[in-house]
Amino acid sequence: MHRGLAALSASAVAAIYLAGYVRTEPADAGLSPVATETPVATTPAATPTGVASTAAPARAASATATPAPARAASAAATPASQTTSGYKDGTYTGQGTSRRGDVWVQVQVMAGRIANVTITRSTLQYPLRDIAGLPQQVVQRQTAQVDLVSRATYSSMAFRGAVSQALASATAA
Amino acid sequence: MTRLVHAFATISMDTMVNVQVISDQPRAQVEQAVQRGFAWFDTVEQICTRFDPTSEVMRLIGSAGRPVRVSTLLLEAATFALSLAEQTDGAFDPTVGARLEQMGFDTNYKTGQRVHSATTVDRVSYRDVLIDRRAGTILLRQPLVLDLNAVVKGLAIDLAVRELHEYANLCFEAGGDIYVRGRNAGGEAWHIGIQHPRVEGLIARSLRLADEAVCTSGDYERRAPGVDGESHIIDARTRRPVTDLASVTVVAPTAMAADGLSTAAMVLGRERGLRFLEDQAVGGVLIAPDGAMVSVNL
Repeated sequence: MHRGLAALSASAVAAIYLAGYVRTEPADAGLSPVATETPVATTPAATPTGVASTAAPARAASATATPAPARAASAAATPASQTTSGYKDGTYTGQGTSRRGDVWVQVQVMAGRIANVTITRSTLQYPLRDIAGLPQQVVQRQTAQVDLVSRATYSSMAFRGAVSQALASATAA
Repeated sequence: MTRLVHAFATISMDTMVNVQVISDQPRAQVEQAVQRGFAWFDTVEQICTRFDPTSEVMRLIGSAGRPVRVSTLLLEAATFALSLAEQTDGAFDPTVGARLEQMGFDTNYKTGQRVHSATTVDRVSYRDVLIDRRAGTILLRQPLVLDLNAVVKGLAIDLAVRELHEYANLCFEAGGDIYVRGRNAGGEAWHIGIQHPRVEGLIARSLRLADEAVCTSGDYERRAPGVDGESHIIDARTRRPVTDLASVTVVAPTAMAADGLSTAAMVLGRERGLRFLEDQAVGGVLIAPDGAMVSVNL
């Protein structure tokens, strides 16, 4: 009878991972509540899109921002990538969600580069000064992948999600 | 060959999460994968925390008496916890949540808010939780608080390291629960020390590991503010804190197993705990309050 808990745990981890809960949501908009009656698809082919359909609008929005991480990765790999960001000029808005409130940002793209990032609105429970340095980081790094601010993890994540979403529009535009 | 050590940290599940990835890749690239790993921690916590009445696991209470379709994550975590309960004949029991609340383990570390669930505390057991895997449902026969804390930190580590599958050498640690893969920056197997449960800073035993998880359950980490500094590990049958052991360290293929089995062995006590770990074919180091140490499969 005392058999196989290690094996059981391994299959549990595999099943959860394959259900694809937040795999491609680095900004972790998955912090919005999960609908109990609408479980995640369990097929191995489940993609974040499948998850988004069962989730709150904010999540779905951020799931559409998933192209951002891959692009950010390649951009970050080459410091000289600032001219190859591929963003279309314009002004874009994005919203990021966390369990401790949301953040809205406006991202301005000029000559294919992120020129300016502004936090336009916040419902965070924490002061915005915690993440005041992050807009500048986005401009410097040309990616949504800013540092997490210690003791402001949720604020940082919400901010990142907002920028990811705005940059996704900048790519799709 | 030069190797870069990329270190990252965040706070989740009321604990520090530290990651070291040994890789030649630039930091920004590694960070992408690490952030996906960190995101799992928040997801696991959000679904499984008993400190938030709106979490998926806590919302089950309001639906007691009827089956509720749940996420894959909650289904699998609960299934594992119940299997652990069955295989320890209920010594480990994830339905002790309300009792833990009573003992003072009731404060949400993020908000400072205290939780108090409208549940029946004394007559519930894991047999009051019915899982239908085919239907993907959980049914609570009584309103009870399912405490999955013995498995979710390990589970989060296992999910996170999957996001890092392309990295052959890493160490992922959350509040003392550790998963190591490959070798450290010096090209050796990872060196993991087990903290002595009574003497701070003293390493009771050190292990050399690769591709394995290590978790330690101890009576010294979290003490209840309310009831004479009681330990957070309680025997489901006596509803009293465990005293026979000071700490149990388990080495297993997954952090989820190491996490759950170390807690279970702690509750089972020295002799039964040792046999249990032996039967489960995992490594274990059990340390009694007087410092006496026994190990199995290590």
